[in-house]
Order: sequence, then structure tokens, then C-alpha cells
Amino acid sequence: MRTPILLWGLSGDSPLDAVFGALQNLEADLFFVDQRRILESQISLHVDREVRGCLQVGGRTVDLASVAGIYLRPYDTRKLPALRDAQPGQHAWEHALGFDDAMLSWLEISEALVINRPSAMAPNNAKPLQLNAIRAAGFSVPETLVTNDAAAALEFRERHRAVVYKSISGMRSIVHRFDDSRLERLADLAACPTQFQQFVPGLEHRVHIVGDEVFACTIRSEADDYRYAEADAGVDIRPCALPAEIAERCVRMVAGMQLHLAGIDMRRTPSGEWFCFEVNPSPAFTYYEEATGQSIADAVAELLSGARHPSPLARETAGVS
Amino acid sequence: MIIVLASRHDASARALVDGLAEHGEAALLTARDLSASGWRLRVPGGPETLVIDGHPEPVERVDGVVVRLAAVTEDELPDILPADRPYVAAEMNSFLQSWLAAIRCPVFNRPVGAYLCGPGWRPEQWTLWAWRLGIPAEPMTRSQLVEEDAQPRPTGALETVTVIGARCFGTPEVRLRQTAGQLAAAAGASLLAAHFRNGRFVAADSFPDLSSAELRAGLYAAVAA
Repeated sequence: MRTPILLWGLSGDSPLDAVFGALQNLEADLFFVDQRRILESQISLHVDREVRGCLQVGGRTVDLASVAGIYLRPYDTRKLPALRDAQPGQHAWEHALGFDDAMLSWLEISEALVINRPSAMAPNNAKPLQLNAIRAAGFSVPETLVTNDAAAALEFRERHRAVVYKSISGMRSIVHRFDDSRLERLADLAACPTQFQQFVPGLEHRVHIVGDEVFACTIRSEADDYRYAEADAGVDIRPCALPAEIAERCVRMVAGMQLHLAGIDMRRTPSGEWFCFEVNPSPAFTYYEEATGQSIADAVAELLSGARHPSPLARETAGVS
Repeated sequence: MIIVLASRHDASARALVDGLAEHGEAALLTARDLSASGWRLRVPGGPETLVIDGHPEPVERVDGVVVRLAAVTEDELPDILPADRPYVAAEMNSFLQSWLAAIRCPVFNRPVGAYLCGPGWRPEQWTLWAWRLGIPAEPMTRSQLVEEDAQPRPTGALETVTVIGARCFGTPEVRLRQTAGQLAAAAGASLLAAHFRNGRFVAADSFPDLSSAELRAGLYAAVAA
């Protein structure tokens, strides 16, 4: 019988700790691969017509083929405290990166429910690519220009009047308005193509999808990027219900991206149009959970433990890739 | 024009550009070219312009792209301030993934996930896929457990089949050619090197050696097709 649930990441990471606690409440058989113990962790992987192997952390071992569910939120191993003094070529460094590489390979081919497979999460690191997938799912997306041409950026601003700019990779950046105060920095634009986006007015929504369950909330803030709003600016987050058609479209979109968990950033315009900006495949959902009381970690834990079923579409499309 | 996207250190890519230039126009593109003003990519819309040798060009000038770069690394960006290189490298990777995925011409290979050149599968994925396709394959093992016995290494010479679009090069053996083509199709790779030993699949990668005139001619023909 396949029972163990495996968590991979850093103890102290809020979503990981929340899912850990929720799984403990379910009395699940837990195996925590804590990155703080990277130098005590080993993996063995054998592949022919099937995938076998085992994973050891300290004195505990788990048979890879027995793992039923996996939740991962690994940090950049090269920045772990255990590798602070390590260099490429040294045993600790090579061991840690070798462990990661084998783990990432196993996560792609494991038959367990993986939240989420690295290959399914990758498009989030190329935002224009993901925007095309969002459009294909039926949502409106803001007009977007990625350029290192100052004249093109200015022409785009002239056309849309209100424009923001932000990163397109997985590196977190603060969303800024492309206003007159930024013009002096245009000379630096040539160094790297930058994403400019039509500003879409409306009510901010954050929608978490777990399997086929929807947790939606509204966010009211005066800041251009509420995640970095000043403490006194006030961010008001409240649970809400989405129109059934929009909720269903969100579930189908996430399942089509082969994701079992996602945090979707959306905005409903005053005219009632729904814009979608991004689908985050590794959402820090606890921030919203604390504000709304929604039981997102419980839902993730139930999905991992088999107490609820993954979205049928995601199940159909998941596989070795 | 055929664009070869590669590392600025890659001498074989420069040789490939020279070889392709014998058939038609070809140019090398490196990460440094992304720091020359003139790139435009729209959503919706796709790529509009690129910059080659400092000159902005409409994307319609590009007949095909050959990708010989797995990712933009900080080492590719000597003109960027060291403190900014991790961010710029990540942004350039994302830009190239989006640009290569959306350009409407043949791309050998289009990026998949975070890997710029094709699927970026690890060895275990190739092996499992081979078995699933009914292709005999050498088992793949890697272990960090010291108590496990080392597996005996198979012996025998490697045979390599290079897949370029719909054609296979490198061996007269029909079965191996068909097998390589099957794997390339399963992975969604239009450019692939598949390695065999004693008739069994061993490994594959999306960086075949393209130094022979035959393969360069095949590549050019695939772009033209």
C-alpha cells in the first residue's frame, strides 16, 4: 500500500509548515526532506521499465516507489546555510547539487501526485509565455511589450497612458508605474529587455486552486503592488465567491497547465471583464489564508493524502515530461 | 537568414555559422546581443524585432533558428555590472524562452520549460520514455548511498544517430534510425543526438555534433523545408 507523503523544502517556510501541520492532523505518514539537512540526505535512483530507489535523511529511509504524494517548495540549494562556506568542486557542494538533480529527475517520473512537477511550474518563469497560455484558456490579458528599445517603450506608454513594468522571470520584483519619474532610467533600458504592461484598473482578486476546489479573495490596496504596500497603506483582503463560469475557467486553466495547486492573480474591471496576469505554481498561500480563514493548507493536505481527488483534467494530462 | 543562438565562448557555434553561410545567410546570436537596443516582443502578437551585430532587424528576416545554448549564465554577461548579472541572466532566459516559443519559423530546438534548447530531460526521463516506447534501453542508475554496490559498466562502442527534423543521420541501421526518430518525436525535439550501445538505447541530448558538412547541409535543408 502506498502511503508516505513527502515534503521537500526548508523548515520554517510558511506554506510548507502549514501543509506539514495539516498532514499531521490527518495522521498522515510524513517524510520531510528538510533542506537544512542537505548534507545528511542521500538519494538512490534506478530506472528501467519502472522507477525504483530510496531516499535517506539522517537515519530515516523511504522507498521512492511507495510515496503517494509530494509537496515541494525547495529553495536555491547554493544559498543554504549548510553550503555557506562550500565551493564548486568541493564534496559538500557536489553532493548537494547532485541530490537536487536526482530529486528533480525523480519528481518528473514519479507516479506519485506531485504538487507541482518542476516541468509544469517552469512556464511561470517566462511570463510572456505564460500569458499566451492564459489567453488560450479564455481570459483577457493586459497588452504587453517586452523591449529594450526606449522609443518603443515610450510609444507603448503614449498609447496606453497608464503602464506598469515588472520582471518576466521567477525573480521577484516590485511592480512599478511607468510614470515621468522613471524616464531618467530609460537610458538603462538597452541592457536587458523589460516587460511593460497596460495598467488594467479594477478590483484585485487572488484565486487559489487546489485540485478542483476554488478559494477566492479580493484585495483592496492603494499600492501599485499590494505585496509591498507600506504598513500604514492598508491592505484589505476578504474572501469572496467567483462567478461560476470564472471559477470553472480557473480550474480548467490550472488543470490544463498540469498544476494541482496554483495562485492566480486576476482583476475584474469596472465593466465586468476578467483579466488574468499570472498563474503562480508555488503560491505563498498562507498570507491569504491568515487574512481570510480559508483552509487552503488543509485542502492541499487532503489532496496529497488522497482524501480528495485531483482535478480529472490534470490527472489526464500529467505524465512523464 | 539562419540565426545560431550560442554562448559567446562556443567556437563550434561560430564554425556552424560559417558552415551554414556556405548555403545562405547565417548569423551568430549571443546573450550580449540582447543588450543592444531594438528587441521587441508583444503579447498578443509575438516577436517583432531582434538585433543582429548591433542592427535591429524585423523578425520576418529570420528563416530559422538553431539553439546551441541551454541557458544564459552570468558568465555570458561581461558588460553587465556583476551585482546585476543574476537578475539580468534570469530575465534574458525568460525573454529567450518566450521569444523562441513564439517565433513563426523553424526552431531547432524550441525551448521546453526552463531549458532553452529542447526538452532538457534528465537521463532517467530518456530511459523511462525509451522503455515506454518499447525501445530496449540500458538501465539508468545513480546513487549517493555508499553501501550500494557499484553497477558493472556496460562495454561496447557507442553509435550515435543525429535527428534533424524528419531525417536521421549517422548509421545505416534502419532500426536505430527509427528508434531515434521515435524518441525525438516523443520529446518534441527536432534536433537530437541519440546514443546506442549494442543495439540498446543509452542516452540522448539536444546538442548533437554538427561539425560535419553532411549534417550542416541537412540542417540547412530542414530549415528551408
